[in-house]
Amino acid sequence: MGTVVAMVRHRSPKLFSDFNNLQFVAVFGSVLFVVLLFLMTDSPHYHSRSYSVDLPKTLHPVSMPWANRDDAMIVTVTRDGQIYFGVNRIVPAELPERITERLKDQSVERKVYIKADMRARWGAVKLACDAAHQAGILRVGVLVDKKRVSAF
Amino acid sequence: MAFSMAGGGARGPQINVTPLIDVLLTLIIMFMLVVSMDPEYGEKAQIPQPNNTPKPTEPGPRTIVIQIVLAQNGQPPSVKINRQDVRWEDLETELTRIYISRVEKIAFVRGDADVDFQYVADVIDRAHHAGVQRIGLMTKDLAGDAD
Repeated sequence: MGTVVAMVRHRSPKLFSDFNNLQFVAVFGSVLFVVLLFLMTDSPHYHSRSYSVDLPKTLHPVSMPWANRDDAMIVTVTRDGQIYFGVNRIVPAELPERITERLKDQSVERKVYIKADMRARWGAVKLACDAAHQAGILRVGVLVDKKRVSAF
Repeated sequence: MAFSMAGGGARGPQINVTPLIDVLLTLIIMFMLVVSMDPEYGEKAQIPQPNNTPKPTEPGPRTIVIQIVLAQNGQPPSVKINRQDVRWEDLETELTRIYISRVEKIAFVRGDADVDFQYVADVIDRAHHAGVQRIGLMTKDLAGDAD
């Protein structure tokens, strides 16, 4: 690396001086700033293992660290009733087969995480629960957000 | 006497942006760490096994079914414990009173199909906080249990 820099400096001192100029650093800073804004505003989409929805908010949820595993079976129900298994949209009839397929892997937790939008109809969520039950799943984890109680 | 208009003289003052870049990098790293360590929260529930007897039976007298009934005119849904109306703010207190003397702390939750999922999650949460250990989500209506 040092050799390359030395060669660049030797052959083109102008180029090396440009490297430090204000314009370059400003562009670099702008890129970093955009990345920072993206992280601040779009962080929920980083959970790319499942579709993103507005989770219901409850006061006393428990921690479910296994839902963060890459092989966690997450069934998402969107506000308009669409069902996703992981990031793939499916019809409810396909869900038992998909879950059964995943259960062939012995290391996969025998539990389905229901990630439903807070405004999704219970009827749509019931379909997902039924499908999980058909695949032999008894335990479900209903993913929620922890409701923050204001001190004032 | 000649002078040059080209560069070569003292350069004008420049803002030192290196600390700004450092701050931005630090913030990015912090946000990435926060995003990666964001824990998942949830409510535990179960899907009860269907009864294998040919005719669905009425729930026993000790079975607690919390029902969420869709209200008209855009009002929040009402909640019932074994068909008895309970106010939302009294739900947890009532469940605590019921389960304080019970050994089997099991409850079932059923709701109308058009109820928002937020209310179902809320009922599960309040029931857990009231001491219910196992909550079954009733996804299939029992014929004898219909109102």
